Amino acid sequence: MIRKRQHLAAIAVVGALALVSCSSDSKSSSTTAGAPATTPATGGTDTTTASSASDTTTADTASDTTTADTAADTTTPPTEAAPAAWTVDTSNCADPEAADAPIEGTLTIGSAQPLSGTPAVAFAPVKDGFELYLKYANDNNLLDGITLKSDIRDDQYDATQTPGVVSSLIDANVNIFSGIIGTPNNLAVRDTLNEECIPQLLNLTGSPDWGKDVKDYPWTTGALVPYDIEARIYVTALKGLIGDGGTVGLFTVNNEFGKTYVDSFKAEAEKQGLKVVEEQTIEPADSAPPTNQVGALASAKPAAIMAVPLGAQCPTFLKELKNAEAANAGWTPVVFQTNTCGSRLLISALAAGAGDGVYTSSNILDPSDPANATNPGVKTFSDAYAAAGLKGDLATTATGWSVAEDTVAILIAAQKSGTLSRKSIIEAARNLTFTPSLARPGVEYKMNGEADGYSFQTLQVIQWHEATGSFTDVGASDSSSES
Amino acid sequence: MSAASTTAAATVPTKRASGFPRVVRESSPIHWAARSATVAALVLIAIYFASSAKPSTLGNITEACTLAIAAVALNLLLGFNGQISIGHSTFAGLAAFTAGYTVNAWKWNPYMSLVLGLVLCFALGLALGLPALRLKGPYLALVTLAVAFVWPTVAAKFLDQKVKASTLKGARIKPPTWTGLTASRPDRAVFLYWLSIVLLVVAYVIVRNLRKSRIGRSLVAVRDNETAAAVMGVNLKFTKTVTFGVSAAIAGASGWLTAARLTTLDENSFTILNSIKYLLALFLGGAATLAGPVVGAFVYYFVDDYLKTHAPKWDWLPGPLSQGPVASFLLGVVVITFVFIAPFGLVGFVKEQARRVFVVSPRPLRQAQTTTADLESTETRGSTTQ
Repeated sequence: MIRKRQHLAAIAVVGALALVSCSSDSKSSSTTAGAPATTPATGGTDTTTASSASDTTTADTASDTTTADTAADTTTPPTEAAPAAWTVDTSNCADPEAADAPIEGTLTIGSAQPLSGTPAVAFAPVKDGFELYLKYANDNNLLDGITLKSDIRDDQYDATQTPGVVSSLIDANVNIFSGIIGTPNNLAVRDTLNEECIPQLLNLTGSPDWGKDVKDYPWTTGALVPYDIEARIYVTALKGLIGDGGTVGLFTVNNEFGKTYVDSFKAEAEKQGLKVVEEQTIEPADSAPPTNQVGALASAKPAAIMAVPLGAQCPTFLKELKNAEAANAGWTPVVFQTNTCGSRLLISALAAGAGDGVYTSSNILDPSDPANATNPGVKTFSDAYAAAGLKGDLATTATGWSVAEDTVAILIAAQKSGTLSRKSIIEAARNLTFTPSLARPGVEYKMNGEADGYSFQTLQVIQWHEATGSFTDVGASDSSSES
Repeated sequence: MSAASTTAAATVPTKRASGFPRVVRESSPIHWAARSATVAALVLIAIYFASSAKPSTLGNITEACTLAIAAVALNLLLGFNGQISIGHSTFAGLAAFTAGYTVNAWKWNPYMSLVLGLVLCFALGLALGLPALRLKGPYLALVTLAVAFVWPTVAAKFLDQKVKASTLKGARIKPPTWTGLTASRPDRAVFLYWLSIVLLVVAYVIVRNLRKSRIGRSLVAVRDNETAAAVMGVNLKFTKTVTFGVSAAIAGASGWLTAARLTTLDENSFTILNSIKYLLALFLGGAATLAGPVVGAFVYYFVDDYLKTHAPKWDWLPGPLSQGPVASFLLGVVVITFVFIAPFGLVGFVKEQARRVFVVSPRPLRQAQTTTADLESTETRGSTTQ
């Protein structure tokens, strides 16, 4: 009897482990919510203007130092007039003196990212890219007298773990946070970091929250184009492809990420005369192929499909859609996918050819495209990537590189303002304009205090071609949301 | 399993020539002294951490306590009553959402929200206990599994329709002024640390007292043989449903504590993964033992935390392990190893080893009779001491 119970207990635990494993897989898809699969345009160097709170004159920042030895076509940074400087009030901080205290010697940047569990497979290269750029910045002395360090810890993309990770990083005396991945993860620590007055820079999610509550959350900024702007840009592009009155089917993940898309897309579609004829959702934790949902979409036969799945759900959706198209002769809808599905890994490698012709968007040059190989920014990144012997997905690594580049540009601007402190860093972040080194033409980092709380608002619609293994631009980039 | 371990614990091994194992009589002065020393040591350790640990360390202990409370709840149901539940994350989620909503929308006192959360969880537990009257084993597990899967969707609908947002703010308890603590991060960490310990102790004492009472003996009787228990006069319906309700309410306390700790909650805050963690913590520590779930929760939490912090830096790991999501893999290896080494859980393993040195012999039946009104005990204690 005892032996039998022992066996039962062992079987129960092993079964539980198997379930954990399965759930972890599915969680990976949920954890990609709001996280970038494509690289955001970031970290600028060749044209930078910034003004600090204390000094409203334009401060040339990263440009002259960071591009000196990298960009062949480096030009003198324009002395664009800076907007009236935005300042932050530190009187309500938990420790106002700490917020104003000068940072000297070593500056540590903390972050919480998925480093274990299934999400790590897709997102671990972000950390590599981030650290790679910091090494580059230290090697080239981009910050005068300051050595940059990173302390990136694992939250498994689980928002309930992020507060603990961030708390341990605060105890480890990190100076600022940058590049925390995931909307719920960033939301989970936003209050704490704003109470502590620690900059929470360049959240790697496109939630509109990061730009609309500047007054309440001055210490928090985002790195990606807000999802509502992305949805609007897709509607405009779709209308050009399927015409006025065209029908659209929606396939979205059932969480904040998907809801933001659905609401924005439907409002814009109504405004522009497109008709949403079918809506299907998938739960964030669902890793099974969405056969029923795609079947329902196929029954409605819309002229276009707007898909907003998460992570591994992106290729499974595309493959399922291919099956449905094969079963419904003559139905070949135009397919748009959110740019979080836009990496080569998700649109090509894992989709097994089903991503051919799919539209998405980007505001950064594709480092995998040979056509961009001679671009100075891409070359600098590619050389550093090769020298470090990294093997992770190139575009995802570039995301980390870019966010770090942004972060360093902000730090340089803060340092040029006189004192490098948490206060001057967030003020520099919100008063900065510069052109990122990997950005597509027309894309720039631009924030203006409460008047403009979003760092990037320009996107280029692109289309994937499996035969050539490359993206092509569709029309001009859309910067109509830039203020 | 617990019957086996109870039998094993109650069986006094034959003394070897070396004089071991020593026999210590239950409730004897030595036994009481050992127990008191253990409690005193635990209290001192708790005070030491509160006074010297960093806020993040206190936060980690608070999270471990939160997991332990849920594991204690599951132990009552599964360990002592034999009813499996994979849906306890739902109860935690219900209490957490109750706290978040009532505190933020209705401006309730967080402690009032705890009461409401426990009542709701108890009621839902009772309701879930009804199918348990007809279902057993894997079939009951399936019902609770369905509940765990449904919860995120229900939570999402609630957020969509009632909160009109994708997240719900947590209860974010601030220390009362009488504690002398402020709302700063370090002080809040200290307060939540003590709060979690108090809740864990309360949960532990409830389960311990239930287990030692007539109801507790009914629970075990139902687990071991329902028919025999019914013949003995145990009210199966009452026992099973109320146990489900109490267990759900204790799991709700764990959820409330999560809401008190976090600034935001959403539909993914309490998924089936949480239920799996509760189960792992329970079996790691030892089901059907009082201390097992607590030990298991702490071991599971801190092993997981250690691996997450250090494993990504271990470049010496071979091949793909050095680049992939290694922490989860290693956690699995650790858990499987524990299961093979200690199939009765860590507490069971330690007890087994300790029995080589000393054993606690139960009080003689005559003494037990004079101190216990219930003479119908089905405990193995009686049979082994006669």
